[in-house]
Amino acid sequence: MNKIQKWLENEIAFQFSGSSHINSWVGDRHLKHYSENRLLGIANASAWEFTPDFVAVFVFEGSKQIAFMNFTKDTLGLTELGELHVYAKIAEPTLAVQATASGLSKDLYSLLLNQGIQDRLLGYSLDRKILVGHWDESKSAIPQDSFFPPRDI
Amino acid sequence: MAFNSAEQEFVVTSDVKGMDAQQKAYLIGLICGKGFIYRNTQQVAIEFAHNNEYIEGIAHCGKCGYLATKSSSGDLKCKNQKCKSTVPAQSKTRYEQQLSTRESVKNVIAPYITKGTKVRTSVTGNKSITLLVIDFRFETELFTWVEKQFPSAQDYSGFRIPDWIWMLDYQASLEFFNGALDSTGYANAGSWAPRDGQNGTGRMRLYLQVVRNWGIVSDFDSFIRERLKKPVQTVDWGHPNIRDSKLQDYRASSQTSWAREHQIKFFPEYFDDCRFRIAHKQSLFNELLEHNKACLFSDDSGWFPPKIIRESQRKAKHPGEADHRLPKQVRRHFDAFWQINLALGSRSLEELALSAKSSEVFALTGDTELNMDPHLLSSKLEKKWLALANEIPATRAVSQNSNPTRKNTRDALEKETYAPLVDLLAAELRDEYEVEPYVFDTSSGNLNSFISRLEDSQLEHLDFCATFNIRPDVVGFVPGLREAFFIESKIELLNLKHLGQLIGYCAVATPMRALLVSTEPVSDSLTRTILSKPSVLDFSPGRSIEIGRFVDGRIEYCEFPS
Repeated sequence: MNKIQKWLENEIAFQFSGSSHINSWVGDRHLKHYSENRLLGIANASAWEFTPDFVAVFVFEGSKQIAFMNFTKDTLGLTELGELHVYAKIAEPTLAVQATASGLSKDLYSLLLNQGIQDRLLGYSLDRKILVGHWDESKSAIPQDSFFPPRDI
Repeated sequence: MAFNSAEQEFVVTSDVKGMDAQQKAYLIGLICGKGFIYRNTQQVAIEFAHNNEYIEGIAHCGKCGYLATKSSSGDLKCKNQKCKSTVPAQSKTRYEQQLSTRESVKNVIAPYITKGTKVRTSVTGNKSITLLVIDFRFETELFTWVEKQFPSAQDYSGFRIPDWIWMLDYQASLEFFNGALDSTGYANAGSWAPRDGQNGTGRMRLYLQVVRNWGIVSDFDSFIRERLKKPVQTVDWGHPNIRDSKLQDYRASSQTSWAREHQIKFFPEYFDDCRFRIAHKQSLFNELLEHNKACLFSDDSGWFPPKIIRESQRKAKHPGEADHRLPKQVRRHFDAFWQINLALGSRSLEELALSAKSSEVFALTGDTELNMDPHLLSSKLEKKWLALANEIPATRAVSQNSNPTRKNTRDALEKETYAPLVDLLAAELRDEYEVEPYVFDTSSGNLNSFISRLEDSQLEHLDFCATFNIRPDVVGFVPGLREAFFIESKIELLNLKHLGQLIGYCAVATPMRALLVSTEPVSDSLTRTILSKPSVLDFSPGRSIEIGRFVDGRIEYCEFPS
């Protein structure tokens, strides 16, 4: 299993304590192609014509949930984040993560420190926000303290 | 700003508990250099740049100990004319910057500024910057105090040195300067001045590097000279007469090469009581300091008072002198850097000008004793500047890209759509609001940079967009409305990625209207997605992206039943 996939599964288990049947894969075609198998039971999946880099499904509190993760080796910019925002708005996944191996661009940092912009850019449904994190290759993980906005409060 | 008494200083510094005056001065120095203030989240972010992974120290000749620099052949050559030995490249010390900066910020700077407070910090970044985020949510009184120091701007591009700083004692003043050094100061072995000492050559310099903000450069220069009583060697302004005084870049097709950072340069031997808290910068600073001390250079009292401008120092008239990127005060010709300081209101220069026989003549010559008709002098100089420009060889041919890539071709085709889209948006806005709108092709850079270059009369309608570092292709404004109108143009089938890009811009700026348009149709996939989830176009309550096709010189708007 890809180490990013493994991290995503661990993160789901960590964030959604008690979740089960966690199953992830590398995005290789539009999600609608999985609507009859892996995404069976998830509403509207047959209309999803986009491909996140990583996808996971899991069962939490008795219902099937979906998680997306996009990954970039390069410095993360507004355009890439906008793309995941659109995916997340369409599918309203339980978890949406944008990882970058090179950190955020200066401009994006500056924008995300503005609360209003952060809410609009990361928020994709009433109570859900995209998590942005810095992938640490040496740890094969996104350290908790690298999430943006900082999670220590 | 006059120096105030210790009694006043006590009153000013004791009103907020938690940090002592030196801590606060250091924090304000960091913010002045590269800070952002986020008033709604009570956070401050400081950016520490490290563009390259490594920076190199000085190369010294193994035989005579003189400075060695890169020659035209690429080798390092000793600068001693009697020696001229080849010096191995490994003789330079290499300093790692990224990890060093991150560790110093995390382990030295953050603990220092948070000591005795409930302020929290986090450190993040990428390969070119480290970002220190300082959270004041448990120190609201302290945050209010920080905010008040910077009433008129929210990031370093508009900050000035706060009044409070000018009242501090020497130690706290030094800490303010240390903060500025850490966030925007550089020790760089390549930034030496061609000077000969008794035991060597090449006088090393430190510098503060400031992007865009003209006012704070003048402030830093005054602060160093007046409050620290230390000499400033020179100021390299990002002005056409200073950075491209012989029009070499202009004539070689790089017409705006002058529009870059400003640098305030000084010799390290006068700053040995200052310190960088970023480890590798301090190490390099020590290396430059030791070099200069060993070379035994003669004393240098800095640029102030300025020397009289000699005829040979007059500069050619540069077309960039009228560029809108320049603040109004400096949108004209200068022959010496200090004239820019004077134009920006340097107090010491203004006092000197007032003491001169003619302040206007002084501003043009640097001569306090000369008294003549300033208009006559001005017109004589104008002729001289033009004559100097005419002496410079004519424009060289601009190199053409003979083998355009597919991306270049696509970019060029996309660019062709901008001008007609500007006209179409202007016509729409004119019809709808019955007023002459401002519509611009903003594709070449960030919107905030573009706006900062506009005329004041335009800026007053658009200032609410002045912090948006996004780059839509076409942006329109209606005077008095304080709303923006965006167009993002493509020349291919519109897809979710294109929509995501514009959604990003809209999340930042919440324009009144935003149009995603292409010369090609909307992809079937995007059409189906919008039909199944129309809210994917929404970017704020009541506002959605419009989709259109640009065909035959007009926009056909797509209708999606909701």
